[in-house]
Amino acid sequence: MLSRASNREDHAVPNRTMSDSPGELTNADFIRRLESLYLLARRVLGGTLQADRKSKRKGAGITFADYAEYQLGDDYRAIDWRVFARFDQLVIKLFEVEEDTTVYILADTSHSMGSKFLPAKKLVASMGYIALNCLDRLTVYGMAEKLHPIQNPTRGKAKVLSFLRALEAGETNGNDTDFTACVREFEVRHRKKGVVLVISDFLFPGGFEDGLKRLSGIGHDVYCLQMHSKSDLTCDWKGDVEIDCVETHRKERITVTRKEIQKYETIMAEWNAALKKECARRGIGYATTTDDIPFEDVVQGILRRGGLVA
Amino acid sequence: MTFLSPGLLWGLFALIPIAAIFFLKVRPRRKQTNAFFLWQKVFEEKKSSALFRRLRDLFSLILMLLAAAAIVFAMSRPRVDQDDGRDLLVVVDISASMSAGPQDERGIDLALQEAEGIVTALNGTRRMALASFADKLEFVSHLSDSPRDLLQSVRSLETRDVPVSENARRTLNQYAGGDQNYRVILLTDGHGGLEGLDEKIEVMRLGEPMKNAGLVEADFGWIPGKANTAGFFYRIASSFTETKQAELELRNVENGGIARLLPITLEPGLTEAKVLEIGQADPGKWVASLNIVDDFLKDNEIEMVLPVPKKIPVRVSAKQSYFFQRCVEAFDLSGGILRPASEDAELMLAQGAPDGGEPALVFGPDGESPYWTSLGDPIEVLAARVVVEGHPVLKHLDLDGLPFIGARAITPPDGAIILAKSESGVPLIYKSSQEGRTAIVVNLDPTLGDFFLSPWFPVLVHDAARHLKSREGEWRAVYPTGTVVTVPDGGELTKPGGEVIGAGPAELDERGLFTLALPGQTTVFGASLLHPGESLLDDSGPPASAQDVASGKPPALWLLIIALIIIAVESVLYHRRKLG
Repeated sequence: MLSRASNREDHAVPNRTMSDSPGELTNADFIRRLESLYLLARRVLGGTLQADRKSKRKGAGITFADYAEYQLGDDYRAIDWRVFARFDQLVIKLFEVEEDTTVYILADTSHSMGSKFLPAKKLVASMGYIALNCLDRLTVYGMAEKLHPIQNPTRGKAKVLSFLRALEAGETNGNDTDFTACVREFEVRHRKKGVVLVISDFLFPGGFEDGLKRLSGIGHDVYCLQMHSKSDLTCDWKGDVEIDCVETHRKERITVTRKEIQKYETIMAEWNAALKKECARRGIGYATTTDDIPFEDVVQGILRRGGLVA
Repeated sequence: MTFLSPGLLWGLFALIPIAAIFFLKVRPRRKQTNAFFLWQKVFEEKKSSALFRRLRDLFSLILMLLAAAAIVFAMSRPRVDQDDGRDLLVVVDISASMSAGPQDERGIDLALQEAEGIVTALNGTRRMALASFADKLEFVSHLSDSPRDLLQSVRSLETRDVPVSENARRTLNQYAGGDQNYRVILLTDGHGGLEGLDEKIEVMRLGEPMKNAGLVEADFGWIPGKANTAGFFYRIASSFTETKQAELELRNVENGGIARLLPITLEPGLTEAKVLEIGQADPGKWVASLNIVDDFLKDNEIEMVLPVPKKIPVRVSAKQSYFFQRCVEAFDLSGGILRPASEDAELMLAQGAPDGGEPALVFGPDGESPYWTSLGDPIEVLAARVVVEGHPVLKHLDLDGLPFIGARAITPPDGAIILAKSESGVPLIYKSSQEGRTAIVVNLDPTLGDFFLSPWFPVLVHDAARHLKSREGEWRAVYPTGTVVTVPDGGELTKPGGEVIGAGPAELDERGLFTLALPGQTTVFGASLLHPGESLLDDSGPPASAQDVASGKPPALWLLIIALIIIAVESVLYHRRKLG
């Protein structure tokens, strides 16, 4: 189980634990790599103080964002009198929100992530490290059948090591992945708006549409990072195989020919395309990667695109 | 069914471990996936084939067991007990009629197929000999159990343009007679000269009745009494079941001209023999063709040669020469072989002692002559007896009709051949050669008893003249194939195919023109298939009497082929199981 409190529950499936790679996330070398990413983030995001992060939400701040027509109830202090003087029209200035941002990371810890769990955790570690160093509030959950806290809300650079240790101790769990249930639970737990980073392969039998809809509907800045292993995207099986679901352990026999391979790869591509389309439709940031790409490259790519903003 | 190696059937126990290994091997490999729900969409499309996939494993097991069982059975050498297993003498009819029919369906084709089937069925315990059968029985392969050699022999067989001969049939009967420990199987279409086969000969009839018409008798020669007129004698046989219209064409090969084109109506069976007269005929090579669409072409055309007419100049030396002269003139005027001559005479008709050096036909011997050593008084001949049966001089004569009036007691010289004598032993007709000259002496007085008015007078003159001038051996225009002729000493006979035969008996076993080269003389004559039995392809002949005989590929081979096919099918299934 992901949470330090609940990861003692029994499971029929042997869990993948960090004991396979002790100290992977807490050794000095890894932390140095995280620090490098943080320095890159500083250059991209422009500062380390509160409210350094860009946000697409408008509100009180010092950075001009846009004009808006004055509506009854708007703060009249925001009226741009110069515009009124020139055009005889009341408009108000909008500024980027400058607030104490909370970063939520929802990491898929179901057994389907088994083969790419470590790379996923490195990504979580890097994003969490940057958030903590940017003085953002960080909360990390594991997702399976339900949410499992990995890192309760915390803030500050001093919490980095405890965060990494908690992440390091995380294991795959659950018998299925219910993204919608996890989002509902998240919705109940956290009313405060923030940046939500979902790291998963998004292979949810129940679909991802409802969960993404709820996340974006709450008002969070949602960013989806889809991680696949190459064996997810392609199939190199041939002949008679007994396909075993890593989560439910349902089994089915099938003869895999080129036709079946093509069919599977088409379905997989359609699934991923649907995710990308859904994200675009809802203004959700989206990136995809595979487990053989170093996590630094993934994070750098995200940062170079402007950070976790859709 | 019996097995030559039944002990190998224990190999069937190998099926048990094969089944066990198969069950272990067909278990599919387990593959884990985190996109099971996506695979389920693939499963839905595969539902229709799921039953096949499950059955396929069972099917594969059955196939493997069948293949293994087939191999075991093949190794045990099964044998179908179709007959008693005795050795075989397979005789293939290669007479001309076996080449009748469409290509690949000819009698010879069917016979070779049957023979190959029998050879293929040899299982190592049976031997087989192979012989061809037409004008003679000829062994192509002696007893052998080597299928390779036997098949080679079978494939070397070809039809010949000859009919089945009596001699061949007699030889075959000899092989079939007695208590032989082998079976004699004759593969034949049943046509031509197969009457009188020994009942032990198993006849395997091949093919079906065919629609055919052909020339079965023919000759071509000058018609006596009609100057420059040749007569074509012919007879046609038809195995059509209905009346057919055809054309008989007679053409001269030398000038290419068609001499006659005669529409004819063919009734089923043998037609009546007819003679077609050709006026102003030119000597040389001729072809007679029966223009009709039928199943057998070889009997539709014959090649023949019309000889250049050559008369024998005859001189008469007789006291009463009138009838002799009239006789020779009559032959001359009627287109016969004699003509009157004086200085260039090659033959003499003499009364009394001959006075020249030519070969002579001497009537009423009188005086002194080298052709007799003594002459006595006239005798009375009550009955004349033939001494040399079938002699050319006598074969057309009826001695009972000859009044040997005026015959005298006579003593021929040593070496004379007595052809006929009286009841008391007095030579009546004899042939004598003296000092390089030859004479035939007829011991009667031709002036008595109306001998000149007897019909046997010109017959005797004609035959004696032919014999003395060696003309009775003149070659016919065309012979039936299979005829055995005698090539005279010093002569060579060249076959149509180019083969040269020296002096002695020679069989005319090809169709076409033969050339006989003699010193100072060359004669050409034809040979064609002139045999009713080879042309009447009406399913006559001996009925099929062959008992069952093992034929075709041995069961072991079929089992191995089946095993290979099964393994091939299983390999496809295996490939699908393992590689998709």
